[in-house]
Amino acid sequence: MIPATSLQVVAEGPDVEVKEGPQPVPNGFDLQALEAALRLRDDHSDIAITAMVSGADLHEDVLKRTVGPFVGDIVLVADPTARPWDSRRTAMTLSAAIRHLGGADLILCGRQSSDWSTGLVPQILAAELDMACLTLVRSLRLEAGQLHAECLADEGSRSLAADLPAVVTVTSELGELRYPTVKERLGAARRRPQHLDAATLGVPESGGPIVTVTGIEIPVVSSHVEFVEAASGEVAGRELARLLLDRGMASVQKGGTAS
Amino acid sequence: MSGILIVAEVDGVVVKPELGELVTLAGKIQESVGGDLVVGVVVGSGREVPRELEGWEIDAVHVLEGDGLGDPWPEAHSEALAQLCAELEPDVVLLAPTLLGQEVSSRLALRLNSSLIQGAMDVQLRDDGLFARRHIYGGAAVATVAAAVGRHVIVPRPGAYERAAPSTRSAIDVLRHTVSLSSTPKTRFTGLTRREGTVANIKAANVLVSGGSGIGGPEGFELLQEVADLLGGVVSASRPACDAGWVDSALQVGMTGKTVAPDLYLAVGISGAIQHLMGCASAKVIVAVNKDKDAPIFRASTLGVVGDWKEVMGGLRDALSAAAR
Repeated sequence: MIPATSLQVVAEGPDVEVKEGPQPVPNGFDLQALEAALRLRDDHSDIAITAMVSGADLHEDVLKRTVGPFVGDIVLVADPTARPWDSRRTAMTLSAAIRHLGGADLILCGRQSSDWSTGLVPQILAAELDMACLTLVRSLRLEAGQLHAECLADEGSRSLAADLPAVVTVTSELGELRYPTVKERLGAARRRPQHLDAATLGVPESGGPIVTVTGIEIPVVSSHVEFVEAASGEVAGRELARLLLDRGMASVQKGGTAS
Repeated sequence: MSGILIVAEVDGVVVKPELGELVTLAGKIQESVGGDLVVGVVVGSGREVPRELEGWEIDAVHVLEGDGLGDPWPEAHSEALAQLCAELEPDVVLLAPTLLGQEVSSRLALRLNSSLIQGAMDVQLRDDGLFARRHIYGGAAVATVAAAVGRHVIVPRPGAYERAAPSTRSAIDVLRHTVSLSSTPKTRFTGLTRREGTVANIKAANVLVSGGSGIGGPEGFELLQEVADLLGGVVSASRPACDAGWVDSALQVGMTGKTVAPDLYLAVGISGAIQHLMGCASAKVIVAVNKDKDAPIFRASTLGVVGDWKEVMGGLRDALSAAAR
Protein backbone atom coordinates (compact mmCIF):
# COMPACT_ATOMS: atom_id res chain seq x y z
CA MET A 1 0.00 0.00 0.00
CA ILE A 2 1.01 3.62 -0.34
CA PRO A 3 2.18 5.30 2.88
CA ALA A 4 -0.44 7.72 4.17
CA THR A 5 2.12 10.50 4.31
CA SER A 6 2.39 10.50 0.51
CA LEU A 7 -1.30 10.79 -0.22
CA GLN A 8 -2.34 13.27 -2.83
CA VAL A 9 -5.67 13.13 -4.53
CA VAL A 10 -5.10 13.70 -8.22
CA ALA A 11 -8.60 13.21 -9.54
CA GLU A 12 -12.12 13.65 -8.30
CA GLY A 13 -15.07 11.36 -8.63
CA PRO A 14 -15.37 7.61 -8.95
CA ASP A 15 -11.96 7.20 -10.59
CA VAL A 16 -10.05 8.67 -7.72
CA GLU A 17 -6.35 8.01 -7.78
CA VAL A 18 -3.77 8.55 -5.16
CA LYS A 19 -0.49 9.93 -6.37
CA GLU A 20 2.37 7.69 -5.47
CA GLY A 21 5.20 9.21 -3.51
CA PRO A 22 7.76 7.20 -1.55
CA GLN A 23 8.13 3.48 -2.08
CA PRO A 24 5.05 1.49 -1.10
CA VAL A 25 5.04 -0.44 2.14
CA PRO A 26 3.33 -3.70 3.08
CA ASN A 27 0.24 -3.57 5.22
CA GLY A 28 1.65 -3.71 8.75
CA PHE A 29 -1.15 -5.94 9.96
CA ASP A 30 -0.26 -8.50 7.27
CA LEU A 31 3.31 -8.64 8.55
CA GLN A 32 1.94 -9.56 11.97
CA ALA A 33 -0.01 -12.34 10.29
CA LEU A 34 3.27 -13.55 8.84
CA GLU A 35 4.77 -13.54 12.33
CA ALA A 36 1.86 -15.71 13.48
CA ALA A 37 2.66 -18.17 10.71
CA LEU A 38 6.33 -18.21 11.70
CA ARG A 39 5.45 -18.96 15.31
CA LEU A 40 3.36 -21.91 14.20
CA ARG A 41 6.27 -23.10 12.06
CA ASP A 42 8.57 -22.75 15.07
CA ASP A 43 6.40 -25.37 16.78
CA HIS A 44 5.59 -27.47 13.70
CA SER A 45 8.58 -27.70 11.40
CA ASP A 46 6.60 -29.38 8.61
CA ILE A 47 4.57 -26.24 7.92
CA ALA A 48 5.22 -24.64 4.53
CA ILE A 49 4.44 -20.94 4.27
CA THR A 50 3.37 -19.23 1.05
CA ALA A 51 2.84 -15.47 0.78
CA MET A 52 0.13 -14.38 -1.63
CA VAL A 53 -0.87 -10.92 -2.74
CA SER A 54 -3.33 -9.70 -5.34
CA GLY A 55 -4.10 -6.32 -6.79
CA ALA A 56 -3.51 -3.92 -9.60
CA ASP A 57 -0.06 -2.91 -8.36
CA LEU A 58 1.89 -5.79 -6.88
CA HIS A 59 5.21 -4.17 -5.93
CA GLU A 60 7.26 -7.34 -6.31
CA ASP A 61 10.47 -5.83 -5.00
CA VAL A 62 8.83 -4.68 -1.78
CA LEU A 63 7.41 -8.14 -1.17
CA LYS A 64 10.68 -9.91 -1.94
CA ARG A 65 12.48 -7.70 0.53
CA THR A 66 9.98 -7.75 3.40
CA VAL A 67 8.24 -11.10 3.14
CA GLY A 68 10.69 -13.04 1.02
CA PRO A 69 13.17 -13.90 3.80
CA PHE A 70 10.58 -15.88 5.70
CA VAL A 71 8.45 -17.80 3.21
CA GLY A 72 8.87 -20.73 0.87
CA ASP A 73 7.00 -19.19 -2.04
CA ILE A 74 5.63 -15.84 -3.09
CA VAL A 75 2.59 -15.78 -5.36
CA LEU A 76 1.60 -12.56 -7.10
CA VAL A 77 -1.88 -12.46 -8.58
CA ALA A 78 -2.30 -9.61 -11.03
CA ASP A 79 -5.77 -8.11 -11.21
CA PRO A 80 -5.78 -4.86 -13.16
CA THR A 81 -9.44 -4.27 -12.31
CA ALA A 82 -8.91 -4.46 -8.56
CA ARG A 83 -9.77 -1.45 -6.45
CA PRO A 84 -8.57 -1.15 -2.84
CA TRP A 85 -12.13 -0.70 -1.58
CA ASP A 86 -13.58 -3.66 -3.48
CA SER A 87 -13.18 -6.34 -0.81
CA ARG A 88 -15.38 -8.78 -2.69
CA ARG A 89 -13.27 -8.66 -5.84
CA THR A 90 -10.05 -9.07 -3.84
CA ALA A 91 -11.42 -12.06 -1.94
CA MET A 92 -12.70 -13.70 -5.12
CA THR A 93 -9.32 -13.33 -6.79
CA LEU A 94 -7.45 -14.69 -3.79
CA SER A 95 -9.82 -17.63 -3.40
CA ALA A 96 -9.44 -18.52 -7.09
CA ALA A 97 -5.66 -18.45 -6.77
CA ILE A 98 -5.71 -20.55 -3.60
CA ARG A 99 -7.90 -23.15 -5.30
CA HIS A 100 -5.59 -23.09 -8.33
CA LEU A 101 -2.63 -23.92 -6.10
CA GLY A 102 -4.45 -26.85 -4.48
CA GLY A 103 -5.89 -25.13 -1.42
CA ALA A 104 -4.48 -24.21 1.97
CA ASP A 105 -4.90 -25.55 5.48
CA LEU A 106 -4.64 -22.17 7.12
CA ILE A 107 -4.94 -18.67 5.68
CA LEU A 108 -3.55 -15.91 7.88
CA CYS A 109 -4.40 -12.27 7.20
CA GLY A 110 -3.91 -8.97 9.00
CA ARG A 111 -6.94 -7.80 10.97
CA GLN A 112 -7.62 -5.10 8.40
CA SER A 113 -5.95 -3.19 5.62
CA SER A 114 -4.10 -0.09 6.71
CA ASP A 115 -5.58 1.94 3.87
CA TRP A 116 -9.32 1.17 3.74
CA SER A 117 -9.48 -0.54 7.14
CA THR A 118 -12.37 -2.78 6.20
CA GLY A 119 -11.23 -6.19 7.45
CA LEU A 120 -13.81 -7.71 5.14
CA VAL A 121 -11.59 -9.67 2.73
CA PRO A 122 -10.82 -12.50 5.19
CA GLN A 123 -14.51 -12.93 6.00
CA ILE A 124 -15.46 -13.19 2.33
CA LEU A 125 -12.49 -15.44 1.66
CA ALA A 126 -13.64 -17.83 4.40
CA ALA A 127 -17.15 -17.86 2.95
CA GLU A 128 -15.86 -18.46 -0.59
CA LEU A 129 -13.66 -21.35 0.54
CA ASP A 130 -16.18 -22.68 3.09
CA MET A 131 -13.70 -22.32 5.94
CA ALA A 132 -14.00 -21.28 9.56
CA CYS A 133 -13.02 -17.69 10.28
CA LEU A 134 -11.34 -16.66 13.53
CA THR A 135 -10.89 -12.92 13.89
CA LEU A 136 -8.81 -10.47 15.94
CA VAL A 137 -6.46 -13.23 17.06
CA ARG A 138 -3.63 -12.26 19.37
CA SER A 139 -2.26 -15.72 20.04
CA LEU A 140 -2.68 -18.96 18.17
CA ARG A 141 -1.93 -22.62 18.86
CA LEU A 142 -2.25 -25.62 16.56
CA GLU A 143 -2.88 -28.95 18.27
CA ALA A 144 -3.96 -32.16 16.56
CA GLY A 145 -5.36 -30.32 13.57
CA GLN A 146 -7.33 -27.89 15.71
CA LEU A 147 -6.72 -24.19 16.06
CA HIS A 148 -7.01 -22.61 19.49
CA ALA A 149 -7.10 -18.84 19.40
CA GLU A 150 -7.16 -16.09 21.94
CA CYS A 151 -9.01 -13.17 20.39
CA LEU A 152 -9.53 -9.56 21.36
CA ALA A 153 -12.89 -8.84 22.96
CA ASP A 154 -14.44 -5.74 24.44
CA GLU A 155 -14.42 -7.41 27.85
CA GLY A 156 -10.83 -8.73 27.64
CA SER A 157 -10.27 -11.76 25.47
CA ARG A 158 -12.32 -14.62 24.17
CA SER A 159 -11.10 -18.11 23.38
CA LEU A 160 -12.26 -19.80 20.21
CA ALA A 161 -11.39 -23.06 18.50
CA ALA A 162 -11.88 -24.34 14.98
CA ASP A 163 -10.92 -27.27 12.83
CA LEU A 164 -8.66 -26.77 9.83
CA PRO A 165 -8.96 -25.47 7.21
CA ALA A 166 -9.53 -21.98 8.51
CA VAL A 167 -8.99 -18.28 7.90
CA VAL A 168 -7.48 -16.30 10.78
CA THR A 169 -7.08 -12.55 11.13
CA VAL A 170 -4.24 -11.39 13.35
CA THR A 171 -4.20 -8.27 15.47
CA SER A 172 -1.21 -6.15 16.45
CA GLU A 173 -1.17 -7.48 20.03
CA LEU A 174 0.39 -10.67 18.63
CA GLY A 175 3.64 -8.78 18.09
CA GLU A 176 5.86 -7.41 15.37
CA LEU A 177 7.43 -9.44 12.60
CA ARG A 178 10.84 -10.74 13.63
CA TYR A 179 14.05 -9.60 11.92
CA PRO A 180 15.45 -11.87 9.20
CA THR A 181 18.83 -13.52 9.49
CA VAL A 182 21.55 -12.78 6.93
CA LYS A 183 21.01 -16.23 5.41
CA GLU A 184 17.28 -15.56 5.09
CA ARG A 185 17.95 -12.19 3.44
CA LEU A 186 20.30 -13.71 0.90
CA GLY A 187 17.76 -16.41 0.13
CA ALA A 188 15.08 -13.79 -0.48
CA ALA A 189 17.21 -12.01 -3.09
CA ARG A 190 17.32 -15.19 -5.18
CA ARG A 191 13.66 -16.01 -4.83
CA ARG A 192 11.53 -16.03 -7.99
CA PRO A 193 7.87 -15.27 -7.28
CA GLN A 194 5.14 -17.16 -9.10
CA HIS A 195 2.94 -14.96 -11.26
CA LEU A 196 -0.77 -15.58 -11.80
CA ASP A 197 -3.46 -13.34 -13.12
CA ALA A 198 -7.16 -13.04 -12.38
CA ALA A 199 -8.24 -13.43 -15.99
CA THR A 200 -6.40 -16.73 -16.48
CA LEU A 201 -7.77 -17.99 -13.17
CA GLY A 202 -11.25 -17.33 -14.49
CA VAL A 203 -12.24 -14.95 -11.73
CA PRO A 204 -15.78 -13.97 -12.62
CA GLU A 205 -16.86 -10.38 -12.83
CA SER A 206 -18.21 -9.51 -9.40
CA GLY A 207 -20.66 -7.00 -10.80
CA GLY A 208 -18.72 -4.28 -9.07
CA PRO A 209 -18.46 -3.56 -5.41
CA ILE A 210 -21.64 -3.16 -3.37
CA VAL A 211 -20.15 -0.01 -1.91
CA THR A 212 -18.52 2.42 -4.31
CA VAL A 213 -16.39 5.50 -3.74
CA THR A 214 -17.63 8.80 -5.08
CA GLY A 215 -14.88 11.03 -3.78
CA ILE A 216 -11.85 11.36 -1.57
CA GLU A 217 -10.66 14.44 0.25
CA ILE A 218 -7.65 15.09 2.40
CA PRO A 219 -8.57 17.27 5.37
CA VAL A 220 -6.46 20.36 5.71
CA VAL A 221 -4.89 20.51 9.16
CA SER A 222 -3.87 23.99 10.22
CA SER A 223 -1.23 24.08 12.91
CA HIS A 224 -1.28 26.76 15.58
CA VAL A 225 0.85 25.15 18.22
CA GLU A 226 2.33 27.43 20.85
CA PHE A 227 5.64 26.07 22.07
CA VAL A 228 6.53 26.48 25.72
CA GLU A 229 10.19 27.37 25.88
CA ALA A 230 12.29 27.44 29.01
CA ALA A 231 15.84 26.94 30.26
CA SER A 232 15.18 23.32 31.17
CA GLY A 233 12.56 20.66 30.77
CA GLU A 234 11.64 20.91 34.43
CA VAL A 235 11.03 24.67 34.15
CA ALA A 236 9.07 24.13 30.93
CA GLY A 237 6.88 21.64 32.79
CA ARG A 238 6.17 24.21 35.49
CA GLU A 239 5.36 26.83 32.87
CA LEU A 240 3.07 24.37 31.13
CA ALA A 241 1.21 23.86 34.40
CA ARG A 242 0.76 27.61 34.76
CA LEU A 243 -0.59 27.99 31.22
CA LEU A 244 -3.01 25.08 31.60
CA LEU A 245 -4.42 26.46 34.85
CA ASP A 246 -4.46 30.15 33.88
CA ARG A 247 -6.21 29.47 30.59
CA GLY A 248 -8.78 27.17 32.11
CA MET A 249 -7.60 24.20 30.07
CA ALA A 250 -7.24 22.12 33.23
CA SER A 251 -7.91 22.28 36.93
CA VAL A 252 -6.22 20.52 39.80
CA GLN A 253 -7.94 18.32 42.30
CA LYS A 254 -7.78 20.55 45.40
CA GLY A 255 -6.14 18.76 48.28
CA GLY A 256 -4.98 16.11 45.85
CA THR A 257 -1.48 14.82 45.72
CA ALA A 258 0.42 12.75 43.29
CA SER A 259 -0.24 9.10 44.04
CA MET B 1 -41.61 -4.70 8.41
CA SER B 2 -39.60 -2.06 6.69
CA GLY B 3 -37.59 0.29 8.78
CA ILE B 4 -34.53 0.25 11.01
CA LEU B 5 -33.21 -2.50 13.25
CA ILE B 6 -30.83 -1.33 15.95
CA VAL B 7 -28.70 -4.06 17.49
CA ALA B 8 -28.18 -3.32 21.19
CA GLU B 9 -25.23 -5.02 22.82
CA VAL B 10 -25.38 -6.19 26.39
CA ASP B 11 -22.70 -7.15 28.85
CA GLY B 12 -24.47 -9.48 31.23
CA VAL B 13 -27.73 -7.63 31.81
CA VAL B 14 -26.31 -4.17 31.21
CA VAL B 15 -26.92 -2.44 27.87
CA LYS B 16 -23.74 -0.97 26.43
CA PRO B 17 -23.85 2.85 26.12
CA GLU B 18 -23.20 2.80 22.36
CA LEU B 19 -26.95 2.19 22.00
CA GLY B 20 -27.42 5.94 22.47
CA GLU B 21 -25.27 6.68 19.42
CA LEU B 22 -27.25 4.23 17.31
CA VAL B 23 -30.54 5.79 18.40
CA THR B 24 -29.26 9.23 17.38
CA LEU B 25 -28.16 7.93 13.97
CA ALA B 26 -31.49 6.16 13.51
CA GLY B 27 -33.31 9.40 14.31
CA LYS B 28 -31.42 11.21 11.55
CA ILE B 29 -32.33 8.72 8.83
CA GLN B 30 -35.68 7.43 10.04
CA GLU B 31 -37.72 9.85 7.98
CA SER B 32 -35.95 8.74 4.80
CA VAL B 33 -36.18 5.06 5.64
CA GLY B 34 -39.75 5.03 6.92
CA GLY B 35 -41.28 2.07 8.73
CA ASP B 36 -40.63 1.00 12.27
CA LEU B 37 -37.69 1.51 14.56
CA VAL B 38 -36.99 -1.64 16.55
CA VAL B 39 -34.18 -2.90 18.75
CA GLY B 40 -32.75 -6.41 18.62
CA VAL B 41 -30.74 -7.78 21.50
CA VAL B 42 -28.91 -11.09 21.66
CA VAL B 43 -28.85 -12.76 25.09
CA GLY B 44 -28.18 -16.17 26.59
CA SER B 45 -30.97 -18.62 27.30
CA GLY B 46 -33.28 -17.56 30.11
CA ARG B 47 -31.63 -14.18 30.61
CA GLU B 48 -33.68 -11.21 31.76
CA VAL B 49 -34.43 -8.45 29.27
CA PRO B 50 -32.24 -5.51 30.27
CA ARG B 51 -34.49 -2.90 31.92
CA GLU B 52 -32.65 -0.03 30.21
CA LEU B 53 -34.29 -1.05 26.93
CA GLU B 54 -37.69 -0.01 28.19
CA GLY B 55 -37.13 3.73 28.14
CA TRP B 56 -36.38 4.39 24.48
CA GLU B 57 -38.60 5.87 21.77
CA ILE B 58 -38.77 2.64 19.81
CA ASP B 59 -41.58 0.49 18.49
CA ALA B 60 -40.49 -2.90 19.81
CA VAL B 61 -37.68 -4.89 21.35
CA HIS B 62 -36.83 -8.27 19.86
CA VAL B 63 -34.97 -10.49 22.29
CA LEU B 64 -32.98 -13.29 20.67
CA GLU B 65 -32.14 -15.99 23.16
CA GLY B 66 -30.49 -19.34 22.80
CA ASP B 67 -27.61 -21.52 23.84
CA GLY B 68 -24.27 -19.79 23.35
CA LEU B 69 -25.81 -16.42 22.59
CA GLY B 70 -24.84 -15.02 25.98
CA ASP B 71 -21.20 -15.13 24.93
CA PRO B 72 -19.46 -12.60 22.62
CA TRP B 73 -19.35 -15.18 19.84
CA PRO B 74 -19.51 -13.39 16.45
CA GLU B 75 -20.55 -16.41 14.39
CA ALA B 76 -23.53 -17.21 16.62
CA HIS B 77 -24.63 -13.60 17.00
CA SER B 78 -24.52 -13.01 13.25
CA GLU B 79 -26.60 -16.09 12.55
CA ALA B 80 -29.18 -15.13 15.18
CA LEU B 81 -29.44 -11.62 13.75
CA ALA B 82 -29.63 -12.97 10.20
CA GLN B 83 -32.61 -15.05 11.28
CA LEU B 84 -34.26 -11.96 12.76
CA CYS B 85 -33.57 -9.98 9.59
CA ALA B 86 -35.14 -12.75 7.50
CA GLU B 87 -38.28 -12.35 9.58
CA LEU B 88 -38.38 -8.56 9.90
CA GLU B 89 -36.76 -7.56 6.60
CA PRO B 90 -35.40 -4.24 7.85
CA ASP B 91 -34.03 -1.75 5.32
CA VAL B 92 -31.21 -0.67 7.60
CA VAL B 93 -29.38 -2.52 10.39
CA LEU B 94 -27.29 -0.47 12.81
CA LEU B 95 -24.59 -2.07 14.98
CA ALA B 96 -22.45 -0.59 17.72
CA PRO B 97 -18.86 0.56 17.10
CA THR B 98 -17.43 -2.07 19.43
CA LEU B 99 -15.14 -4.98 18.62
CA LEU B 100 -18.12 -7.33 18.68
CA GLY B 101 -20.24 -4.94 16.63
CA GLN B 102 -17.55 -4.66 13.95
CA GLU B 103 -17.14 -8.42 13.79
CA VAL B 104 -20.82 -9.22 13.69
CA SER B 105 -21.54 -6.51 11.13
CA SER B 106 -19.10 -8.04 8.62
CA ARG B 107 -20.55 -11.51 9.01
CA LEU B 108 -24.13 -10.23 8.96
CA ALA B 109 -23.62 -8.16 5.80
CA LEU B 110 -22.20 -11.23 4.09
CA ARG B 111 -25.15 -13.38 5.14
CA LEU B 112 -27.62 -10.72 4.01
CA ASN B 113 -25.68 -9.85 0.85
CA SER B 114 -26.12 -6.24 1.87
CA SER B 115 -23.88 -3.23 1.77
CA LEU B 116 -21.64 -2.62 4.76
CA ILE B 117 -20.25 0.72 5.87
CA GLN B 118 -18.14 0.76 9.01
CA GLY B 119 -16.82 3.92 10.63
CA ALA B 120 -19.69 5.82 9.03
CA MET B 121 -20.15 9.56 9.44
CA ASP B 122 -22.73 11.93 7.94
CA VAL B 123 -24.98 9.06 6.87
CA GLN B 124 -27.69 10.05 4.41
CA LEU B 125 -30.33 7.93 2.77
CA ARG B 126 -31.55 9.34 -0.53
CA ASP B 127 -33.68 8.08 -3.36
CA ASP B 128 -30.53 6.93 -5.16
CA GLY B 129 -29.05 5.03 -2.22
CA LEU B 130 -27.03 5.38 0.92
CA PHE B 131 -24.23 7.90 1.23
CA ALA B 132 -21.73 8.25 4.05
CA ARG B 133 -18.25 9.49 4.77
CA ARG B 134 -15.53 7.43 6.40
CA HIS B 135 -11.89 7.83 7.26
CA ILE B 136 -9.34 5.96 5.17
CA TYR B 137 -5.55 5.67 5.32
CA GLY B 138 -5.72 5.79 9.09
CA GLY B 139 -7.52 9.11 9.06
CA ALA B 140 -5.27 10.87 6.55
CA ALA B 141 -8.14 11.09 4.08
CA VAL B 142 -11.91 10.92 4.06
CA ALA B 143 -13.85 8.99 1.44
CA THR B 144 -17.43 9.52 0.44
CA VAL B 145 -18.93 6.11 -0.19
CA ALA B 146 -22.24 5.14 -1.71
CA ALA B 147 -24.34 2.01 -1.78
CA ALA B 148 -27.17 1.45 -4.20
CA VAL B 149 -30.73 1.03 -3.05
CA GLY B 150 -31.08 -2.13 -0.99
CA ARG B 151 -30.43 -3.32 2.52
CA HIS B 152 -27.65 -1.59 4.42
CA VAL B 153 -25.61 -2.60 7.45
CA ILE B 154 -24.02 0.41 9.13
CA VAL B 155 -21.57 0.80 12.00
CA PRO B 156 -21.02 4.47 12.88
CA ARG B 157 -17.63 5.90 13.71
CA PRO B 158 -17.24 6.06 17.50
CA GLY B 159 -18.34 9.46 18.71
CA ALA B 160 -19.70 10.55 15.32
CA TYR B 161 -23.19 10.70 16.79
CA GLU B 162 -24.16 12.06 20.19
CA ARG B 163 -25.46 9.57 22.68
CA ALA B 164 -29.20 9.95 23.04
CA ALA B 165 -30.71 9.31 26.43
CA PRO B 166 -33.75 7.16 27.09
CA SER B 167 -37.03 9.00 27.36
CA THR B 168 -39.70 8.23 29.90
CA ARG B 169 -41.74 6.11 27.53
CA SER B 170 -42.25 2.75 29.18
CA ALA B 171 -44.78 0.63 27.28
CA ILE B 172 -42.79 -1.15 24.59
CA ASP B 173 -43.62 -4.49 23.02
CA VAL B 174 -41.01 -7.05 24.01
CA LEU B 175 -40.97 -10.03 21.66
CA ARG B 176 -38.89 -13.04 22.61
CA HIS B 177 -37.43 -15.35 19.98
CA THR B 178 -35.76 -18.65 20.78
CA VAL B 179 -32.94 -19.11 18.29
CA SER B 180 -31.56 -22.43 17.17
CA LEU B 181 -28.42 -22.21 15.12
CA SER B 182 -29.48 -23.75 11.82
CA SER B 183 -26.11 -24.96 10.73
CA THR B 184 -23.18 -26.43 12.61
CA PRO B 185 -20.94 -23.51 13.59
CA LYS B 186 -17.46 -23.62 12.13
CA THR B 187 -16.01 -22.03 15.27
CA ARG B 188 -16.43 -23.01 18.92
CA PHE B 189 -16.56 -20.52 21.76
CA THR B 190 -14.48 -21.94 24.60
CA GLY B 191 -14.25 -19.13 27.11
CA LEU B 192 -14.21 -15.46 28.01
CA THR B 193 -11.41 -13.97 30.09
CA ARG B 194 -12.35 -10.67 31.62
CA ARG B 195 -9.67 -8.13 32.40
CA GLU B 196 -8.36 -8.36 35.91
CA GLY B 197 -9.04 -5.41 38.17
CA THR B 198 -10.61 -2.18 37.07
CA VAL B 199 -9.52 -0.61 33.83
CA ALA B 200 -10.29 3.10 33.50
CA ASN B 201 -12.95 4.09 31.00
CA ILE B 202 -10.90 6.38 28.78
CA LYS B 203 -13.90 7.24 26.62
CA ALA B 204 -15.65 8.84 29.60
CA ALA B 205 -12.62 10.73 30.97
CA ASN B 206 -12.41 14.53 30.73
CA VAL B 207 -8.65 14.50 31.00
CA LEU B 208 -6.35 11.90 29.46
CA VAL B 209 -2.62 11.70 30.06
CA SER B 210 -1.43 9.46 27.28
CA GLY B 211 1.95 7.80 26.87
CA GLY B 212 3.65 6.41 23.80
CA SER B 213 6.75 4.50 22.84
CA GLY B 214 8.89 7.43 24.01
CA ILE B 215 8.02 6.57 27.60
CA GLY B 216 10.36 3.60 27.27
CA GLY B 217 8.71 1.10 29.59
CA PRO B 218 5.88 0.42 32.01
CA GLU B 219 7.54 2.18 34.93
CA GLY B 220 7.33 5.52 33.12
CA PHE B 221 3.56 5.36 33.27
CA GLU B 222 3.73 5.84 37.06
CA LEU B 223 4.66 9.49 36.56
CA LEU B 224 1.89 9.90 33.99
CA GLN B 225 -0.53 8.41 36.53
CA GLU B 226 0.60 10.95 39.13
CA VAL B 227 -0.14 13.82 36.75
CA ALA B 228 -3.46 12.25 35.75
CA ASP B 229 -4.45 11.98 39.42
CA LEU B 230 -3.68 15.64 40.01
CA LEU B 231 -5.78 16.66 37.00
CA GLY B 232 -8.66 14.33 37.83
CA GLY B 233 -7.96 12.32 34.72
CA VAL B 234 -6.86 8.86 33.69
CA VAL B 235 -3.95 7.38 31.80
CA SER B 236 -4.20 6.17 28.21
CA ALA B 237 -1.65 5.09 25.64
CA SER B 238 -0.71 4.76 22.00
CA ARG B 239 -0.63 1.44 20.16
CA PRO B 240 3.14 0.77 20.52
CA ALA B 241 2.90 1.12 24.30
CA CYS B 242 -0.02 -1.29 24.40
CA ASP B 243 1.53 -3.75 21.97
CA ALA B 244 4.66 -3.78 24.13
CA GLY B 245 2.50 -4.80 27.09
CA TRP B 246 3.33 -1.70 29.15
CA VAL B 247 -0.36 -0.93 29.72
CA ASP B 248 -3.65 -2.71 29.13
CA SER B 249 -4.86 -2.62 25.53
CA ALA B 250 -8.21 -1.28 26.81
CA LEU B 251 -6.38 2.03 27.33
CA GLN B 252 -5.30 2.30 23.68
CA VAL B 253 -6.26 5.43 21.74
CA GLY B 254 -6.25 5.33 17.95
CA MET B 255 -7.53 3.61 14.86
CA THR B 256 -7.37 0.11 16.35
CA GLY B 257 -8.04 1.36 19.86
CA LYS B 258 -10.62 3.80 21.15
CA THR B 259 -11.77 7.15 19.84
CA VAL B 260 -11.82 9.70 22.65
CA ALA B 261 -12.97 13.29 23.02
CA PRO B 262 -11.71 14.62 26.36
CA ASP B 263 -11.43 18.30 27.32
CA LEU B 264 -7.66 17.87 27.62
CA TYR B 265 -5.45 15.27 25.92
CA LEU B 266 -1.86 15.35 27.10
CA ALA B 267 0.27 13.33 24.67
CA VAL B 268 3.63 12.36 26.13
CA GLY B 269 6.27 10.60 24.07
CA ILE B 270 3.77 10.08 21.27
CA SER B 271 4.96 10.96 17.78
CA GLY B 272 1.44 11.47 16.47
CA ALA B 273 1.06 8.94 13.70
CA ILE B 274 -2.10 9.51 11.71
CA GLN B 275 -3.62 6.36 13.14
CA HIS B 276 -3.20 7.77 16.65
CA LEU B 277 -4.49 11.22 15.79
CA MET B 278 -7.60 9.59 14.39
CA GLY B 279 -8.43 8.52 17.92
CA CYS B 280 -7.74 11.77 19.75
CA ALA B 281 -8.46 14.50 17.19
CA SER B 282 -11.81 15.28 18.82
CA ALA B 283 -10.16 16.42 22.06
CA LYS B 284 -10.89 20.06 22.86
CA VAL B 285 -7.24 20.75 23.68
CA ILE B 286 -4.22 18.63 22.77
CA VAL B 287 -0.94 19.30 24.55
CA ALA B 288 2.16 17.46 23.38
CA VAL B 289 5.48 16.72 25.06
CA ASN B 290 8.07 15.25 22.73
CA LYS B 291 11.80 15.46 22.20
CA ASP B 292 11.39 15.77 18.42
CA LYS B 293 10.26 19.24 17.42
CA ASP B 294 9.12 17.89 14.05
CA ALA B 295 6.89 15.20 15.54
CA PRO B 296 3.48 15.25 13.80
CA ILE B 297 1.69 15.43 17.16
CA PHE B 298 2.66 19.11 17.41
CA ARG B 299 0.70 19.93 14.25
CA ALA B 300 -2.48 18.87 16.04
CA SER B 301 -1.61 20.52 19.34
CA THR B 302 -2.54 23.78 21.02
CA LEU B 303 0.45 23.75 23.36
CA GLY B 304 3.73 21.91 22.94
CA VAL B 305 6.93 21.33 24.83
CA VAL B 306 10.06 20.05 23.11
CA GLY B 307 12.20 18.25 25.61
CA ASP B 308 12.88 15.24 27.79
CA TRP B 309 9.48 13.99 28.88
CA LYS B 310 10.66 12.93 32.34
CA GLU B 311 11.94 16.42 33.12
CA VAL B 312 8.89 18.15 31.68
CA MET B 313 6.36 15.87 33.36
CA GLY B 314 8.28 16.05 36.64
CA GLY B 315 8.08 19.84 36.57
CA LEU B 316 4.41 19.69 35.59
CA ARG B 317 3.65 17.29 38.44
CA ASP B 318 5.45 19.41 41.02
CA ALA B 319 3.69 22.60 39.92
CA LEU B 320 0.27 20.95 39.87
CA SER B 321 0.95 19.37 43.24
CA ALA B 322 1.82 22.77 44.69
CA ALA B 323 -1.34 24.28 43.20
CA ALA B 324 -3.42 21.51 44.72
CA ARG B 325 -2.31 22.28 48.26
